[in-house]
Amino acid sequence: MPKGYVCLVLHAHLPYVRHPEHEFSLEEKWFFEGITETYLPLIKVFSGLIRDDIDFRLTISLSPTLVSMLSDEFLQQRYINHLEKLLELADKEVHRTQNDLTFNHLARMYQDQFLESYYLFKEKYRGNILTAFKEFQDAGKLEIITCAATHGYFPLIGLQRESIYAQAVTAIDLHTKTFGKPPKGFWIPECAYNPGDEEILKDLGIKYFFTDTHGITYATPKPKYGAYNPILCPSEIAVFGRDPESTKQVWSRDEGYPGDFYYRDFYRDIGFDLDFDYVKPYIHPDSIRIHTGFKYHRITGTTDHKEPYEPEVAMEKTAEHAGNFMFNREKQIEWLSGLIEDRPPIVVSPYDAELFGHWWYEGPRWIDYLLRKIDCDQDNIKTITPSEYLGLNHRLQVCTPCGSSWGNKGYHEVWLNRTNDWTYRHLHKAAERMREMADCYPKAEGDLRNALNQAARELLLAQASDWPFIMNADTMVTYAVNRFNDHISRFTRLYDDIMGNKIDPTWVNRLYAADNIFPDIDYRIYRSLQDTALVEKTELEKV
Amino acid sequence: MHDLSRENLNSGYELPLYYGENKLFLLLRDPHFVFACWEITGETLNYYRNKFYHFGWDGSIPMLRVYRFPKGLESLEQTEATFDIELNHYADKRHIHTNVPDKTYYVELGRKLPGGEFIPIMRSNSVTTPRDSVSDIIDEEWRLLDLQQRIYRRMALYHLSSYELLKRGVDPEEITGKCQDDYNIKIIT
Repeated sequence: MPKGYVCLVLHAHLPYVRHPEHEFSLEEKWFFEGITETYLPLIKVFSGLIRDDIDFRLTISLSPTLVSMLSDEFLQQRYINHLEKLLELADKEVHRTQNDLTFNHLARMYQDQFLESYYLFKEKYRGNILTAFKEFQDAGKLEIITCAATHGYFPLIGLQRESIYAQAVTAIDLHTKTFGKPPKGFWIPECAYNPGDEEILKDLGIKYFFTDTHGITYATPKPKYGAYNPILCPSEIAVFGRDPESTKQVWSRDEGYPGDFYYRDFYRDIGFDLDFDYVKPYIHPDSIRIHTGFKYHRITGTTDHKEPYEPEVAMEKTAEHAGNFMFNREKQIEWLSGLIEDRPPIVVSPYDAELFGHWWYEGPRWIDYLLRKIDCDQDNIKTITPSEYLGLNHRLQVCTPCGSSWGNKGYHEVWLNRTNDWTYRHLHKAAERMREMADCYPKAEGDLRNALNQAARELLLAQASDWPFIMNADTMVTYAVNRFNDHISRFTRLYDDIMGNKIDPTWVNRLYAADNIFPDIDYRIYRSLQDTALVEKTELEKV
Repeated sequence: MHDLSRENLNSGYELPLYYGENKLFLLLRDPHFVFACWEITGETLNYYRNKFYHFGWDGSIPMLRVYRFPKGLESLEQTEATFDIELNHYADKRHIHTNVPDKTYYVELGRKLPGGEFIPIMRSNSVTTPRDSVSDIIDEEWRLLDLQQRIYRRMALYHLSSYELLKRGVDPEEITGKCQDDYNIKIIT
């Protein structure tokens, strides 16, 4: 019997970036890099663990926008084209560095990785890597949960409760169709919690969600066990809080593992280093130098001077850091178990999935080593999923969590400040209009129904928390502003056309081709909540 | 087949400047700030101008009056405090420093007449600011013994890992003395 549990949670999310109108888009490249550097490496790790009969548990939230892109045939083909281009560059790099002992083995390392990715993506999973995640779920190792449909930021779009309901029910519907069963857990985007939002999730069958540490420690009444035991909202949905200590060990910019000087440097890339004509076919078509994925140096230090990357040394560091993390969790849980006498403590460690592999190249291997060590090297702690922990049936303390988020400063300022506050008048007006239309046309068919469904898609896409986040981060701001403006503009014309009885079916079809997320959406999810909730709840119970 | 043309996909529509309605809403930003956003129509302003013309309406100042209540209460009789924020004539949003966490707020948008009288035009929804500290409310059934208080004290020192604490020879028992109170838990940034 372990003294306590570790609950590793990865949140995988990218905004919906699908641009068939462009031969190349930087935003689709985010998605392709996510597959190459994070999602496929994680799949390789989980496959290896299952092959070697390692007993592990991990929870992953796959956001509906990410799931939609991963299952989109157009993007799947584009990713294969992208990989073929990378393999072409890998051939050139292996040739270019053939007499350079320092870098040739690194070029071959990338070539091997891309070849394996190509095989896994194209041959093994036939373009749809979601099947891999479902296999790990069905093997009982991975608990897949969902997130809001387009990562809408609940506390800031929740003036219209229908918006939260629509974000949640659309996500749960897609998840259920994709993974064969409804999710038990829900990753509230950015852990942004506002008391009362959980009641909608509870009505939709969700058993638990997460908050940042202070969502629990500032809860009322004061939770007896801090963040080391879930609490139960008055509406009877469980809440798990983020452990600050394990967060810091991985996230900290200064002291976190990913900043080790022997780890691969993210910023140094041949896209910036090599002769322009040589890299030109692999950078931005407008001749802007960008990352190619071929990075040959290690972090080295805090200056621009970078030494060549040494994979074997980095691997040793990765094992050392995995051991350090496990050791700290053992000590932490040993200490906690002396204070929490009637139940085993749980340490919840959630991270953005894209940290692992994309930003922290060695991250997936760190997860691999960590899960192997926890299973093989000690008996004090075990990994667990939130569902399994709740299944231990310890009585939970009833508390109301504190409004919070995991963003900078712990509340909502990242998504509501002078860079992005102008968006909310439009979001709330559009949500009001969507509810008005859904109430006005309870049984629409044909062109009217298509237009109403498209209006729902445009509203959902406008609500993505990514746009205000990017505006605040001050990078790629134009893209975020344009995307927001596009979706609100399109929604506004749809509203005018629908309410003015002048729908142009050709234009609506063009819009659907452009913004084709959630093909099965039913605009009636926006009906005034007291009506909608009952209907959908009945449907959900059938599932 | 994918329609690759996005030519005029917005069909001439742009982000609306205004919606032609009277609207005032509040959003919650953090324990110390709320955000107000509004639109007021020319018709509404004309109505008030005609009504208060002889009281100096043309010299009046746009103003937000902020009402604070104990958490969850909203009736005017239970107002804990109010304060006013003068605005310029073109303002249509405002980040308001409410300062006191764990309270319910709403605002009224109106005009202050030259004589000092406030004429409210619109009232917002209410929002409740979150706590910025641990609750002083304890559930009797889940009373925190000194043992559990140490969890909170330890979390206040989370910047030191368990291993770092051990290396420093710090016993968890000693942590008790290093923290002045339970209100030291920091927000992760």
